[in-house]
Amino acid sequence: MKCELCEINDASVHFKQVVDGNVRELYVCPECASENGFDVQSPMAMTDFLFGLGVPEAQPDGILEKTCPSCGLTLGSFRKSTRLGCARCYQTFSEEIEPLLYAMHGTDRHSGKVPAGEQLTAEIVALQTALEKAVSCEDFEEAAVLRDKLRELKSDMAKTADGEIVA
Amino acid sequence: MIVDKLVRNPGSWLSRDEAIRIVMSSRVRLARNLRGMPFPSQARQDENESICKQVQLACDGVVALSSPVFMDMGQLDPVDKSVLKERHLISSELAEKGAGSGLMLVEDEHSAIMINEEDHLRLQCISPGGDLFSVWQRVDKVDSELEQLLDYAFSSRLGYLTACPSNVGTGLRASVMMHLPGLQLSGLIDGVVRGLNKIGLAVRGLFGEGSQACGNMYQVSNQVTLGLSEQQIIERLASVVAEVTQHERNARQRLLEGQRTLVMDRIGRAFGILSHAWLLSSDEMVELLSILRMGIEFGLVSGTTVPIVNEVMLTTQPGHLQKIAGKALGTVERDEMRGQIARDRLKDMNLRVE
Repeated sequence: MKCELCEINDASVHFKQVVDGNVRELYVCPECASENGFDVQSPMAMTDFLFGLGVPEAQPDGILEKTCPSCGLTLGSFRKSTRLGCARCYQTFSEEIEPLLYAMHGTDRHSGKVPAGEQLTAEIVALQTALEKAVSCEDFEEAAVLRDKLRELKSDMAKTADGEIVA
Repeated sequence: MIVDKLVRNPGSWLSRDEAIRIVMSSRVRLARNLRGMPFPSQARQDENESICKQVQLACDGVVALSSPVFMDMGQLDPVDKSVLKERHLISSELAEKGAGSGLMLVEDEHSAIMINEEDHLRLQCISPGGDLFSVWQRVDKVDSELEQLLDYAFSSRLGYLTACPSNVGTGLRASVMMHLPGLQLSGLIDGVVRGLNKIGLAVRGLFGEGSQACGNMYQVSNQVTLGLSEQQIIERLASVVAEVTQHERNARQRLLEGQRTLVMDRIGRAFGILSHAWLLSSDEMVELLSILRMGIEFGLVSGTTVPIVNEVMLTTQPGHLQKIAGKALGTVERDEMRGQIARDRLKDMNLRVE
């Protein structure tokens, strides 16, 4: 298939954009993509394009840019490089990352492998989520069962570890 | 030096048997980072060097990795780096790095760990053929041993934390290399690629991200890494790959039945050029070998085999040629050497004319 912009090269980049409920698709070659400011190498560039995140917001004078307290990465350089600087950045930039996760993965919850040392923590988080759901559905019987399980697990955890709970 | 040994061998992840391999190889990689350390791009040089040492030490203690060899990116010369890139053992991003980053490689090339590429660890397992599930089990085993020795950055909500949010969660990228000349010759390939994109799969060329499709080879991989389990990701990809494989088989059958002349012409031209050309560019070589491979699989070319085609394809890449020659070669010298290797390695092949 030819690139829809230059109509010369083969298209190997596929953009999809939803505008007012209509899906717009574009097949372009890497040259045209990068000429138009999309970094083909970066999966985030596409979502930047889709969500307008690539355009840095103007910083009013005197207000410091959001910066990760752990590694020093600024929001501006995250937007530019599309790479986070450390695990803490996921909290620092959660506002910006959350919509990206939904755009890329359709969710913000992990449901795969858990390191052996983290399994107890993961079970507690799963129980907590289920408990919240039960309460919001007013299923108090289920909620009571979940609460007891949760209490049991938390006391196990206090016994086994020095109590480091990572959110 | 391990690279000197590698260059003489065909990649063990390329098929050695005669079976028709529409799926040439399967690969699964996991992205992992160490807790409490900045990711490679934000880490200081001394931090990167310390992470590199920690990971090396841990790898040495992993039973599932038999005597891995460490290669320091600060010490490898550009030709060695090209050889590793051409064998899909390192990425361009890692090749550009220096001290404080490297590759842990098991000599059979089935397992490799890039250290301080975009993430602290990129574990990869690769095998010939399409058995993604056993490749996943192999990399999972290495990972499970490593997690006993290293403290991974993990959050129960987001899973394994990675430098790019596109990898967060499982950190898993599964990819298969498919050889699809039938769909290409039938003009159906664009529709297939578009279909794969629509269901959230990435389709790339022979050398991964940013590379053009050449030699009718396509790398198909998952993009979603969060919200699905590793098994689900693998199963989804495997079922799509099975479908594409069937499409390719059907396309080949239709070509043989309906457009035999066109097929014979393409194979005959590939045969003619490969046996008589003195100068062959890298791209032309890969294209011709793709058609020749299809000819062998159709039973229309005899006297050579798919493993020989695989070997010629790999050893005529620019890095391999220069490593074999033992010196830097210009474009024309490389093209000449390629022609010579083709005439020599494929001299016994014959065309079955009916």
